[in-house]
Amino acid sequence: MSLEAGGLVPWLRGWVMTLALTSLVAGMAEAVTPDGSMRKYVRVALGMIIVSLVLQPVMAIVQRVRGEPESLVLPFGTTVPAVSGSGTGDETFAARVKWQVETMALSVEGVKAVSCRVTVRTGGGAPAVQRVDVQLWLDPQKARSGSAVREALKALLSAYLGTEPGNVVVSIAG
Amino acid sequence: MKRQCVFALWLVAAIVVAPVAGGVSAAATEVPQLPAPLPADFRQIDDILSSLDQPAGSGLDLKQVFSDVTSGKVRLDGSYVLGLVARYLFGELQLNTRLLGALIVLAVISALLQNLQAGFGSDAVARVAYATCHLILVTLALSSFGVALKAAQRACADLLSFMRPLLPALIALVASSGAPVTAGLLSPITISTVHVVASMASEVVLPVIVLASVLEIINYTWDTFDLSGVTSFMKVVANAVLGLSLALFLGMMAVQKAAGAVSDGAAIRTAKFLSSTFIPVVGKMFSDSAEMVFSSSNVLKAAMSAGGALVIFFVIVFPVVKIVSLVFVYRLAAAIVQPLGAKRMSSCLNSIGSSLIMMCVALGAVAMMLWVSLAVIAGATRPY
Repeated sequence: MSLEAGGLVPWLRGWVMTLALTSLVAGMAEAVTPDGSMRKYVRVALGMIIVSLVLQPVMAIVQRVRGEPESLVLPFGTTVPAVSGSGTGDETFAARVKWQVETMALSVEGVKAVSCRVTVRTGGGAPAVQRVDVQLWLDPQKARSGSAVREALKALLSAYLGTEPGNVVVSIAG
Repeated sequence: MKRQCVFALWLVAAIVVAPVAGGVSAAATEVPQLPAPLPADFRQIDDILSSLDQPAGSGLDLKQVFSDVTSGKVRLDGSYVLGLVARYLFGELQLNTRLLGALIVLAVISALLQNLQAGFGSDAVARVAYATCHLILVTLALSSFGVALKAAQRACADLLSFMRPLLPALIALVASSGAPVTAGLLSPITISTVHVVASMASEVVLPVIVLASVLEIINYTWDTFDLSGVTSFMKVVANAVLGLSLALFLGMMAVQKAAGAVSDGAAIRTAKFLSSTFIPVVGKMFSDSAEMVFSSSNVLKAAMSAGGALVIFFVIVFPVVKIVSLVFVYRLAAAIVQPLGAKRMSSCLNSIGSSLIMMCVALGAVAMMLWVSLAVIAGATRPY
């Protein structure tokens, strides 16, 4: 959940809608649960779901305060960066490669978020990748060392892009 | 000090050059005119007045009201205004009678279901049936909130688009009425702060109040998972944002005006002293006639401020009355259904009424801010 996406009020609207619908459905589920020992467990589980929803804005604010990247799940309606269209051919190529590199980096286990910069060699003929700088944020819950992730991604990217491993620079934030 | 000197020189130059351009003999015999054409275009204000929303269902024509008042056909006294408002209020209440009927029928059904719940052993079915009734109430409340939010946001947008051409014209009049420093200080502060606070009220505070109210109403559907703390927190935050921004605005306006008044007094006295001392023969006449020009601009400024206050009143009074009529209907429904035993339904209707009153308060706060800014500008006169 991102506080930046589309402003505070649309974000708040989405949160309130989710909370209201969840509370309605949870109330309904609680009402139709048969009386018995199961009922109190159902109530606790539904209550936990609602508490987690209520806490969502607090978690988003805590994440921002601690400087961690927010979740990569984009809210509905967010515009993703264009990988084709306007701009010169080199820019389009760089944007496309950037998008591909980010997607590949996210597919590596243990990577939580990624930021990348692609330098394209221009002039004469088709554009080619000159250098790729990748910065990774690792998921602390996944027990995997930073160097292993870095090496794996480096090998993957240099093989995919057909460039020297020295041209792919992978750094780990934090 | 440097700024005061620049203003003093500017004023001396204006006083010396203006009569020379129009002929010195004419300046002595004719009624003095305003020193320079005003930079603002008053046609914009007329355009906005004619584009104001006509209150539907009341048979009122706001444009006609304005032209009657300004041409003196109608005397704008309390009974005339009260008559207008009462006519509109009764029109709105007549429109909302269907809503009132639907609310009472819903409440009767829900009270019946609650009594049945007490009669039967298992309460699950009765609770689900009550929730179904309540969801119909939620749809009615949502449509009412939609109407109220639209009216309030429209009023805020109208107020802003009216103030946009009015403030520069008024500030130009402040400058020509002998308070150039105050005008220079008020101009950016007033315009930007009015826009920021009014936009914040319209785009943040009002939607947050509506969202909190919707959550509160949905919260009444089931009695198991209580979210009233979340809703009251959201309302407190909305109120705090509105209150703080208003306090900030009023404080800034007061301080700027006080700071400007002192410099204006010094600048104008310096200019008068310079013109009467260093301009031979006619210097004294210039310094005296400047006083008259300032007073004329002051009269014009006061008239424009009063007109602006009147327009602000007419822009907000109809949306406020529309929301108040909705509040009346919900509160009346709550009062009628309470003896039937539908306690939850009654408190839900009451909370809808309270939320609508909060929206009214937010709209009133914006209007009050604009009124205060007009009052500060009207009062920003050089002390004689």
